Amino acid sequence: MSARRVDLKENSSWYCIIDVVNKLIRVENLTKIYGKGNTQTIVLKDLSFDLDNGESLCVIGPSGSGKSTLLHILGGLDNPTSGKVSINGQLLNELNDKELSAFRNKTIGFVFQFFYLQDYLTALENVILPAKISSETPKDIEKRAMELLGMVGLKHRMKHYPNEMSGGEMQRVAIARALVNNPQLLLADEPTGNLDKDNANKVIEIFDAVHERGVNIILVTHDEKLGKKFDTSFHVDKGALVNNHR
Amino acid sequence: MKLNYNIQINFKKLKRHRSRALFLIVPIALLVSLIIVISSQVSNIHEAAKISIFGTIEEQNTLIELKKDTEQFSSHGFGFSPEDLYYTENDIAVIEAIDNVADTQILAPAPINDAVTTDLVENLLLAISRLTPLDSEVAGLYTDQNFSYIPDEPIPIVLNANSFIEVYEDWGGQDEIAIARSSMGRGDPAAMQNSSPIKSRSIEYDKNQLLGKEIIIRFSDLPKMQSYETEMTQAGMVFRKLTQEAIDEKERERQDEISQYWNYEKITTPLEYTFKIVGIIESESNRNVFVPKDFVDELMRQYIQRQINARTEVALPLDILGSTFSGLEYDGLELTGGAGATALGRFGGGIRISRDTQQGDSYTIPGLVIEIAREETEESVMPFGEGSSDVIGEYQDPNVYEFSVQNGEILLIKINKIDARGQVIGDLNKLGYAYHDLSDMDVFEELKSTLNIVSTASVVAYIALSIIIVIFTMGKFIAESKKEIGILRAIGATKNDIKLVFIIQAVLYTVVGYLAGVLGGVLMNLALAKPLSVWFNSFISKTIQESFSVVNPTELSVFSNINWSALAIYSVVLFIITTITSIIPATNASNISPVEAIRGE
Repeated sequence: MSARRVDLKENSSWYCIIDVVNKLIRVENLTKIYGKGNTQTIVLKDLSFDLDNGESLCVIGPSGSGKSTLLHILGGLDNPTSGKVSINGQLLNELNDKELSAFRNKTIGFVFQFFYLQDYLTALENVILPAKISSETPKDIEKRAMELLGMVGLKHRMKHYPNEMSGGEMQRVAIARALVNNPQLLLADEPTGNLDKDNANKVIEIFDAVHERGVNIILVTHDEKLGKKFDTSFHVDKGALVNNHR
Repeated sequence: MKLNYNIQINFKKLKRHRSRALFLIVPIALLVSLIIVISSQVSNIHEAAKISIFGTIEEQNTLIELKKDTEQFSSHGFGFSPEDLYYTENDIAVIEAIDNVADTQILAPAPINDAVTTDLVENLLLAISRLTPLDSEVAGLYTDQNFSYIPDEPIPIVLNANSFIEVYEDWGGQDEIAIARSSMGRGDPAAMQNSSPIKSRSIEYDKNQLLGKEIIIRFSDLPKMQSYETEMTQAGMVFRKLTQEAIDEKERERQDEISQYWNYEKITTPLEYTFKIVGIIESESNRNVFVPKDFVDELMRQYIQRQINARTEVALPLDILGSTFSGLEYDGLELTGGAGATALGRFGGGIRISRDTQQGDSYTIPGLVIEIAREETEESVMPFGEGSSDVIGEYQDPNVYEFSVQNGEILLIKINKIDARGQVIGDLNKLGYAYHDLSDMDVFEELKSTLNIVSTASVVAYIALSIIIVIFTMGKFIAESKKEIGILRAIGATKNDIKLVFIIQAVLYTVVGYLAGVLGGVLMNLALAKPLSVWFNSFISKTIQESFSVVNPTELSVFSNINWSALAIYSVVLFIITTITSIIPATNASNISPVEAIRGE
């Protein structure tokens, strides 16, 4: 991935311009505030950006900066205090819980820092899980899941449980899980945060391969080096992720 | 998420998190096994109570035993009439007119005494008094055995605790004992007993050993010559010991007198019958010994026939009949044992004391029936009176007992259905027959009531506990499953999916607990059978057995039964409760924000 990196500071005139034909994501004046009155925290302030189909985005900042919050809002797991988010032209705040769940199931794939595999399911069963949750499970889902496990180099571990795997292996299973329903967008929250260098590199290689296959990736990280690999990246400063204009 | 996949993942969760699952499974298993044991044993005890008090409760409840309250009369001593003492044919007519009364029988002791046996207690001659005929239809109150008289077979007999009384003499070294009139006038048996040299005491017996035993009872020897004489004085009554020579002399005199009119050998040949003990009554108010009615008819026939057969050709002068020679008296209606015998029978614990005293050399002839003119007056019966009836002559029909009127202190009423018991008792009371129901059944009713309380309490506890168990354990499971909930939501599970996951989890774990509980409950129930059986038989013998005549020990198998129908109901209740109760925590789980669930590492 070629990367253009833009540093965005509060009230700065720097901004990122991307030539866009198809807008996958459009975010307008997104603000997220936690708490009320004197105890309120502004996590996201007036953020606006677009992401094209085929693009990847990296959000960089230290822990607790709000980058995860942005990811959750984009994935429909959280609601903004104000502003609009649309994905493929669909405003997320117009969806009810059932529709949002279906959206997450079909359109989004999540990868978390702490893997979050179900400890009572094998690797294969974990990968299949999103498909089983779906209203219609494809008949060849096991085959697809095995292929994905093969892609992440873990086909030989498909009958193992998470407690029998290393951190790196678990994260790779999580990535396979995130891809099982052919999502358009992969949201990864500090995917290498809990991994050693070797495993982290393996995971990044997998993300490369995934992007090559046409999956859009939004990744949040504190790792500056990781950001260099992405088409677009945002920076966090002073506890808030800020983008004051297009 | 499809239901079968939901169930599948819950199974997988159960397999991997067995120890966690036990938090719900174990309490449910305990609850189910306890409810099985409690519900089964409550119904087993009910059943055992029914069986042990023989016949069935239904049969017991179709019989009412009315007793004359003679206590008030004996304490006064005077001032009562026969109608006060006894139930009569009039009473039968009145009572049989009540709706739902199927049958009535007066329990009237047969006018035959001097029934003795040595087979009850070793080396002891015991008297069997108040031999009372009983129809087999109403025998259910006293025995569960067949109560029919079959000639040449042992005759069923229901003995009485009063049969086990030994009468003995204790002169205290004196030859003469006087009793003040004042203590006699009160008619207080205890005071009389203390003063009199004639005493009685209870003999210990083992009921279980005696039931089923065969005994021979000998009827109507000539009364034993009294070893003492009595004299009424102004001051009271005097008992005076006789010397052996005096006694022998009296015996000779008697034989000489009797031999004029009866063949002495024939009149002294005892009637002997073999009986089988089918019950023993231990009741304050029922002092009868019961035998089948047919047998009593036959016995009385034989008793009288023996006397008739022993009569010589010599005619019996009327002035001797009733004075020198006494016996049964028939007034055309009633056949009685004679006033003197009845009155004196009030002393000495119910043992008939012969009237062969020094006063007037009167001899009792067993089987002699004296026809007398019927008394129409309502004068009091004097306890020491010599009777003022006119003697008509010897009554020669041996069947007289069968067609004479029977009066007695106890009236048995059989009602035709249990539901009518209340109505019949109400009608009886209205007609002046005071009846206190349930006095014998109180203990049993208490047991039933206790069992009902236990049942109700256990149902309430069962429902409450199952709700509490499900809410608490599900709350715990959900609190421990936040991350799981978060990730499931993140990958597209709806709120309903989450809700259903946890409801299914609760139900599944309950099923497992339930199955374990059924197994445990059945085993526990079996294990408890023996100790419960021992307890129950002990309880029955200490409480209810005092009220009922024969109690069967309850078999162990009764207490091994499982109340399957109660279990079916409890099972359905459990699953309904689990499903409904788990909705609350499951809904809470579904409302957990996925972000909050995921955040927090």
